[in-house]
Amino acid sequence: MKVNDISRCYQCGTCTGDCPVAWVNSEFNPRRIVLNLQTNGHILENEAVWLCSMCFKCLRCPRNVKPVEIFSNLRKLAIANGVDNVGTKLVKAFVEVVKEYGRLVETRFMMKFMGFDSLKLLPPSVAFKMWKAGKISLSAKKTECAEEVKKLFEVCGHV
Amino acid sequence: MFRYAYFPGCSAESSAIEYDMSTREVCKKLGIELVDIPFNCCGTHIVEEFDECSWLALNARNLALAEELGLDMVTICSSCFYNLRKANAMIRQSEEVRKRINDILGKIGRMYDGKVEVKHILGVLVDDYGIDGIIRNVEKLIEIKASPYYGCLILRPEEIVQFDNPEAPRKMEDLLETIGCEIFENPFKVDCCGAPIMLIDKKTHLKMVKKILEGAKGADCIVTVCPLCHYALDVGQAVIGYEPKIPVLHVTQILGLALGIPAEKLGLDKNVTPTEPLLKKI
Repeated sequence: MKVNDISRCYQCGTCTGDCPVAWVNSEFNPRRIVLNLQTNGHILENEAVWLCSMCFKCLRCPRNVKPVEIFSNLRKLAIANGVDNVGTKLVKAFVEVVKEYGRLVETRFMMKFMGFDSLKLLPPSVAFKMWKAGKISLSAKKTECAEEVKKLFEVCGHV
Repeated sequence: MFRYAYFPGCSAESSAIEYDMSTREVCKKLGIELVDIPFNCCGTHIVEEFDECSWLALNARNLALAEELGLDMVTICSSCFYNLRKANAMIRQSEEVRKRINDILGKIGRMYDGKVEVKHILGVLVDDYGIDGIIRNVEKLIEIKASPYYGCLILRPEEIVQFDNPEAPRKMEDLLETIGCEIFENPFKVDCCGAPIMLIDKKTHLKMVKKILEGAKGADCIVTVCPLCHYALDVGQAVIGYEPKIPVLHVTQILGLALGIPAEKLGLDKNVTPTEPLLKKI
């Protein structure tokens, strides 16, 4: 698996200055994550990489290290190696729903990922308004693409 | 003349139902024909990180559906836009990838030759249909202060989406000025709402939302071009109890108002943050 050449990073911090996650959460610091990778190598249980929102602002990196791609590659490694954390759990739930329905049925995905905790995500008044407006649907029907999608996953080796 | 395979994306069936409604209404009014296809999920970066083969196959199937109709594709979701375009570029640029993906598509009786162009609804409106065409259809000027919010994947990575200037985009401003709006600049209009991490770290996500809302303070409404951005800002402000509330409209909702389409047909009663105060101003 291709991992970007992190040795090119000279710790200027442009990525962190540009990162909208880092602006509001100092625990997510792309520059520091790259420094840790340089010093300690890849750590599969690096949960911080799941906080990257894939917004691609850090593409302005003057050394073309592209932290967004590094974090994506680290998530791929975690998934491929069966690491169990909140991020890989989300991926598993998402893929299972798409595989079954062909599309992302939002309520099924939430239930699979969070169980009944998903009911606490929205204040009851907001959830009720959305349900009334048809924006939270509790039923899920398989779309006509479901069989073909299932087959595509199978052909790619995911039964 | 204007005819596209329509890719609304998964959220159009539930959380962004009014984005789909307003897109269909606006296109009907302008004479842009949207052809429904039995699309599947684009997979987003989540399936891509799970397994590139499956992700590419999901997108190739969608592209094949449009190619079978001999049409280009239009999507209303920035994330679908990015994923479809990325997969399309990979298939177009490499004969080896094209062969590999067609071996897979062959198993479901389909093929994809790389002929489809993937577009975003904002691009179809502004570039294909054109501002001049829209002006001719405006029935009512929407004279309010509108604050465009682009978010991420419609603009970045530039080499994949090739949509607008990623630092200083203009397409939404051009459209909104055409229908009579005054542009309210949000300094965070190309920053991320954090929707992709809302289930990983809700607190961080909501802080990102708050920052964008503060950037739009003083505007009559925020205008979005992605169902995920819309959810983040419209539902997000209700979750944090943000005041003063600021209505968040899909770009097709505000355009629809200018085209004289009734508010309920545009689903403006389905937005979580009430839109009535805005409707009273116009």
